[in-house]
Amino acid sequence: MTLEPLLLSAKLAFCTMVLIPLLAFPPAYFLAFGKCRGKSILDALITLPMVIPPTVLGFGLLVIMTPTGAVGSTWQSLTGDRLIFSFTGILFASLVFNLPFAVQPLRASFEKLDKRLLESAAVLGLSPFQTFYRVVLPNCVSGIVASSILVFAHSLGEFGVILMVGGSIPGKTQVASIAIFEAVEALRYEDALYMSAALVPVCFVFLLIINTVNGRQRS
Amino acid sequence: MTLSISVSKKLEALTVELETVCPSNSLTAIVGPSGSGKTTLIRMLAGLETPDSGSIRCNEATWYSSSNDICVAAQHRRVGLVFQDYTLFPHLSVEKNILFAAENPDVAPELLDTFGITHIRNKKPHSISGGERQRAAFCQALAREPVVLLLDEPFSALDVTTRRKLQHLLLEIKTRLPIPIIHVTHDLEEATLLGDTIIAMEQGKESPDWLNTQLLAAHHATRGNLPYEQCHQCGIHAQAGYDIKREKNAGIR
Repeated sequence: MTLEPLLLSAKLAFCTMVLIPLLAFPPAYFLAFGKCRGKSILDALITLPMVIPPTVLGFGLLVIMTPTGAVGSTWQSLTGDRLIFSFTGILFASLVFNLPFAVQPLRASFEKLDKRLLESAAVLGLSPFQTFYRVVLPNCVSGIVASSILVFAHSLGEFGVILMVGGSIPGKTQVASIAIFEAVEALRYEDALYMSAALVPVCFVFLLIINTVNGRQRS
Repeated sequence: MTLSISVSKKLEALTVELETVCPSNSLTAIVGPSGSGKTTLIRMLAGLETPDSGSIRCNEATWYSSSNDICVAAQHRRVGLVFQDYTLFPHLSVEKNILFAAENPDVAPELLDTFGITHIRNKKPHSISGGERQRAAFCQALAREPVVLLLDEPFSALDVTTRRKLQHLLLEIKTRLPIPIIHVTHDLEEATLLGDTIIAMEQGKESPDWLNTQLLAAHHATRGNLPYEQCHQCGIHAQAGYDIKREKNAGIR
């Protein structure tokens, strides 16, 4: 058994966890505090990856990430590299797939915040951006931690979307879930068992951390 | 420093309207029953809500003018606002809350001392009493050296003893503040104790009649059937127009 797929899964999960706040904070903030009519449309759009089959999402991403697709061609013109069947490609897909899993806990955390604190900050002269990092972020730490861990754990188990946009290139796009699937297909049950046994406790520990953080937030 | 107010805002159930001038070194108490539009008025002055029409001017600066399409954001009005409930930032200590928006960090020790909360400066808001939190909220509002101090029922969530202490503390410090103070309350006794000028509001509008009725009722309740004229002798009287002013050192009792 090779550790490469497990390490690649961990790398993908870590990179997703680190980058996703940049994508998730603005919509979560808007959904929590925004007052315009487009909120429900944005909410539905962001939640969409959560409810549509991963293969459908993967196919959609495949179409836009090919060298002739909107995202793929832009990426290629900027970097000279192909987005599809690359680690950057599966990372992009992972960010899209995990967006609702990051936005929803953040949004819930923002909504729990006492709105008067935001008004107080405004009266005390803080700009909306200063209010975000001096008031909102410090008071939503548990929501941010819960969101990050959920994204990390969820990224470890990704299969359909990654397979569609990344294929199964060892050392490049073959993450643990795909390697397990291929080991089972090839009747290498021992390899599949070891990799599965390595993933389950990791996910369990991460979920335990989420529950602890949520418990602290409630208390 | 003078705050000139002439605003109107239509709400679902009523229209809030007020026209008055609040001078420096003076506390204007706005009193009225719940739902009379007092808090909406304070929020308009703070910049948290926009009036439908009128103007708000602080000395030469225009904060709001419907005719000139001016509406200065809350961030730029430099007001001190103390809310009814405690709105200290829960992740910061009392001292850091006070210094949160202060331009001069040297103000904290003096404010902590004035409000008698030096001993809790390192504590978080959740670990101190309601009275201490409200004292800290006053310090936070004053640390920014505001040009107007707005108080939205700041004592209503406190027990009677703490309320009395803070009312007297406010009486003491208001003489040292060279700015207009606007204090919203539903407590007539508090308004008469603290206010240099009292404005009664009912259903969103100034209502001298409401104040006179309440004063009369208060006298009936505490002293029996006092004639209405005696209310006036106590120092509270309705002037022609809409200002109801209380003479210095006079009270209901």
